[in-house]
Amino acid sequence: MQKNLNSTNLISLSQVSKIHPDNSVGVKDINFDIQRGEFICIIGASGSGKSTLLKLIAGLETPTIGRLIKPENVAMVFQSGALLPWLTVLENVSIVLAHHKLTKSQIRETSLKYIKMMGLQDYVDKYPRMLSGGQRQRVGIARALVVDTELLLLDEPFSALDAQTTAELHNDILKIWQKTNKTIVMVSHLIEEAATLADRIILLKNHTLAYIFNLSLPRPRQEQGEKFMSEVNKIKKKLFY
Amino acid sequence: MSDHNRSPHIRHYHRHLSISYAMSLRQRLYSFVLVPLMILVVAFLAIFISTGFHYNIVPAIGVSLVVQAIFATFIRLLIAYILALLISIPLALLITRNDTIERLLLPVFDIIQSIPVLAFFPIIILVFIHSNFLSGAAIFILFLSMIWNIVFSLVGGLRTIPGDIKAGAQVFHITGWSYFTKVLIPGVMPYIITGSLLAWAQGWNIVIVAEVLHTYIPGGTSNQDLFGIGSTLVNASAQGDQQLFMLAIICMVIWIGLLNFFVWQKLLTYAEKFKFD
Repeated sequence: MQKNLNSTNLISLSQVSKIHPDNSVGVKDINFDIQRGEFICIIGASGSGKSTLLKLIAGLETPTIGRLIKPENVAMVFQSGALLPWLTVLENVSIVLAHHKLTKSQIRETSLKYIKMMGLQDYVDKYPRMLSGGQRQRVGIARALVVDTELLLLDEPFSALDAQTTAELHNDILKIWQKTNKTIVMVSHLIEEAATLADRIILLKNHTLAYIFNLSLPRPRQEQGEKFMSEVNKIKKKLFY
Repeated sequence: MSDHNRSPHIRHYHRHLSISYAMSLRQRLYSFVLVPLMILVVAFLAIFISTGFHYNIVPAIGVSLVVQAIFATFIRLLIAYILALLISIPLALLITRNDTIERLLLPVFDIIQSIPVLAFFPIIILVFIHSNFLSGAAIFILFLSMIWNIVFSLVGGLRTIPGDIKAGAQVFHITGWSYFTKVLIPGVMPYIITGSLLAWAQGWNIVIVAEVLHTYIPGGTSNQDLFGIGSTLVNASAQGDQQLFMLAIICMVIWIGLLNFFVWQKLLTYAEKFKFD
């Protein structure tokens, strides 16, 4: 599916629309490209189509109209964590490698490597219900990393977490992104979060692409004080007016 | 789909499942000691009163007969249950495949499950009794009484698997048999167990109909009955053998109590592990 793509582009959306079976509009006439290694954040009000857009990129839905070029294999971190309650941390991570051509010990080793990377080495045999919200999301991130895809999708993964855990996970995600050079597409409803993490912010309004912001502030951005707040205010103005 | 849009049966199971699986010590005492004791006391009193208070409590004969009868009935129920379970799963998957199929099939199954088992006797006679496969007839009756509890429970369960779990399986290519065994079946495990428990209760309720076949066969004789606890109860009652009747009731209550304590309560506690937040 990657043919016809500019070598720097990983994803390309051209006139993409999604109309649901009940005739409601998911997204309409979306056009943009995502370059390899970019950190993109999709923001918008509830019902603006940001989740539909992420589902299209994930391959969970297909466009009704338009052309979407994307990698076949993607990894995704879900808002709820989407962990299987009957499996341990190790099993939840290693289950996604079951169809890969690896031996059992290779699957275990690879899974443990990413569990350790997320600081969960003491929770390998624990079940999701024994973990905090932040730890569950770390398991979700470890599971997404273990499949080693070029594209990582994040569907509001920090929306249910407290401020401190969210800040820690922001740092973790940025470190992973810088270390692995993955392309990350994240959906968020928090402008500050998007401005903290993304290279570009895609603003959706009424199911269409309303604006694309390029952020050039160096990271860590929260420490930029006024400059950071000025960027946030610019986005807020576009979102609300 | 919101809860109020679902079939009354699914709503019923949802309400049923909202009750905590794990029983407290007081509930266990009530279920496994007090209720069986009350049943036994009422049964003894009934027999004492009807025999003019001359009833001999200690049965001289029949313990072995009753144990064998319970075992025969249990095996029949077990076969019917396995068949019901094996057929329920694809049936529930078919119903929940999409909303159109659900709208078409759910009312049909709702009607079928409301039809009394006796209404199927022409089919039972045609298929099983004419070929002298009497055990097959009994198992078919038990199967019909058991299957719908599991089907409707499973339909409810399949609807409760979170969208993120299904999406995750799709994104990470957990598909086909792997999805079935690692995601879908564990995901509905609490509903399989609850449906199975209700199915077995229904099965025990219908053993008399399933075993005393001659009553429903035109020109039937008692030779067409099957040996089991249902037929033992009917024969003991018909022959006025109150001792055997009492013994059969006591053994049946004990056996069902043991099954409940050692199988169903363990399974209900085990099901907690599979519940989504």
